Amino acid sequence: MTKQDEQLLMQQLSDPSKQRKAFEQVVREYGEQLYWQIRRLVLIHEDADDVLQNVFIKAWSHLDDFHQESRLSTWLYRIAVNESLDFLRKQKNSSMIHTDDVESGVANMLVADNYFDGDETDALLQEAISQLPEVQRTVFTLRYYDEMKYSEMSQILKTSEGSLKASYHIAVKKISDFFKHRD
Amino acid sequence: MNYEEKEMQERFGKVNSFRVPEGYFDQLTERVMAQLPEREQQAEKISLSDRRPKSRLATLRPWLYAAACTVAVVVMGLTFHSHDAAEEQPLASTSITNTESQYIDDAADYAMLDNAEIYACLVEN
Repeated sequence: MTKQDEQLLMQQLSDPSKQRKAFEQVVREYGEQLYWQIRRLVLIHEDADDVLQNVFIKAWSHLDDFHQESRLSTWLYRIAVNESLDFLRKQKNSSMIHTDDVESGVANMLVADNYFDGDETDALLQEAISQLPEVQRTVFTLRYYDEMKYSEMSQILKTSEGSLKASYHIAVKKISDFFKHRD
Repeated sequence: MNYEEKEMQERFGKVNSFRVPEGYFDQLTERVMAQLPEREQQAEKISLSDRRPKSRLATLRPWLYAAACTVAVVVMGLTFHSHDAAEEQPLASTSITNTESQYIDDAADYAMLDNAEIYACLVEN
């Protein structure tokens, strides 16, 4: 979406008579990108779908709070990251996944998942990522899979670029160590 | 890119191993839009236009409150007044007595009569 298209869309979003139609365009434009970002954090399709629905409901409810000081995509990504991390915290609190138990951990769960067709190594990579602290985990997925620039990431996560680079390198080191211990 | 990052990319690549149900993204927009609530502004609009006429009791309610307050003030006023009047009764009679004797004294002074002349007058009558 060009900057002009986005500006037009944002004008329509601020017009009560046009905002529902404009929001439909937002969902069509950003739905898939946001889904993949969420899915890489929460891993399971059904969870990603629930989180994505919440992201759009939240964005719709707080449309008046979006003052256009950042790009629409940045604002949506920020909501998506926050909602995903909230979901993971709640999941951790309810002890649905014991990430410290390798035998019954994330890798096994993914291998058994119909919507995951990677091999065991891919599943183990996801397990290694899932064991990272939440900021490192988010930074790693945004950088490694989406190849997002640190400047954009800095706006989404409201953290300095230097700090994000450090988080990414620590994350890479930890994942590398994870496999060294297993090999 | 440092050595570890390079090694990771060679070993895992960046292939997306996650899948979604068939047609998921085709139906996504429709599903999301169906779940969106009405915006608050619209909800307010509806509630204003659909506002029902007030019931008779609701219309009279301020007047009922005012009447109840007036009755309460009158009852309290009467209660205090009757209580004060009962206590002030002896004082009132004393005051009348004092007023009467003051009147006789004033009349005597005006007629320039002393007590002896008054007694003489009374004996003669």
